[in-house]
Amino acid sequence: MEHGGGLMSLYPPIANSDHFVSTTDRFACIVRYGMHDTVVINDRQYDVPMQGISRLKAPEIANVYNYIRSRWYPNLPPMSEAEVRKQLANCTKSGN
Amino acid sequence: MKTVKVLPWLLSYILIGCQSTPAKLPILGETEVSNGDTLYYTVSDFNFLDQDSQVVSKATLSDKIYIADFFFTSCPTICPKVKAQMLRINEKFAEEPRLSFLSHSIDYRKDSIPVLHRYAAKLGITGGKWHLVQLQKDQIESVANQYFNIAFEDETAPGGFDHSGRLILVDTKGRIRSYCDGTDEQDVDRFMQDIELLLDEE
Repeated sequence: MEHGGGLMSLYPPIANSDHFVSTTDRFACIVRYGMHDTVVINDRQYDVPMQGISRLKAPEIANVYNYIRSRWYPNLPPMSEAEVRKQLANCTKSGN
Repeated sequence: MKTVKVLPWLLSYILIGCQSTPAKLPILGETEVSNGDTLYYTVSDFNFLDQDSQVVSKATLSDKIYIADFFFTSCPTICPKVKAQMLRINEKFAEEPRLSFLSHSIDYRKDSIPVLHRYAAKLGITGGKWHLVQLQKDQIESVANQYFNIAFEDETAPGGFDHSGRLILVDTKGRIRSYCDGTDEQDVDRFMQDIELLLDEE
């Protein structure tokens, strides 16, 4: 799990995740409000709800994103605090 | 996650425990001397239904040593790491019928038997060795305190509950013999040696 691989069918991987790549435009919403619907990640279904972490502020969310990016997705651009704020202003509150 | 408070006498055991590797595990908790006999602390009786609707009580575990922990299925913080470490212990002792697991969910609202059943299935938990049980609201504090653990409802904590990631090792007499930080792989390695020591003793 330390290597971003997730844990069986309980927690999906964060490394090499097609879902992560396709949702970078609402990453901040997912962190803040969680995910509560069934998602398919790398052809595997996950339905355990992910709780949001509402106490993380915009700079902290940017830090989380940029850590994940630098560790597993070096080809993606980094995310600024301004981008996080922009995303948070447009959340649908379901994260998905 | 709040800093877990450790009772002073528990701390003294940790400090003593660091001095040497004992051939036999210490018996933790307060002791009483009565008519010349030493009475050790033991976990009080309990009675739960697990994820397979099977009764788990002190009696059903009387010939087992077991590992107790506190968690909840939607826990966003330390539980994933702790469960990964418990799976590691489960794999190492897969052929050991004398070791059980008792995972207490402190989410009295959501973690019903069907929810715990699905959670167990997703972790590949089968075979009746690993019991997941739901505590009721009024049981959380008293049961957690049985295991020197700290678990309580806290609306400000991520997920609504605060608890430590400690794993507690209990012998066949209900006495607490060892514990570790379930988020720390090295501490869990040391804990697995303690499990082997206790199995040798029993």
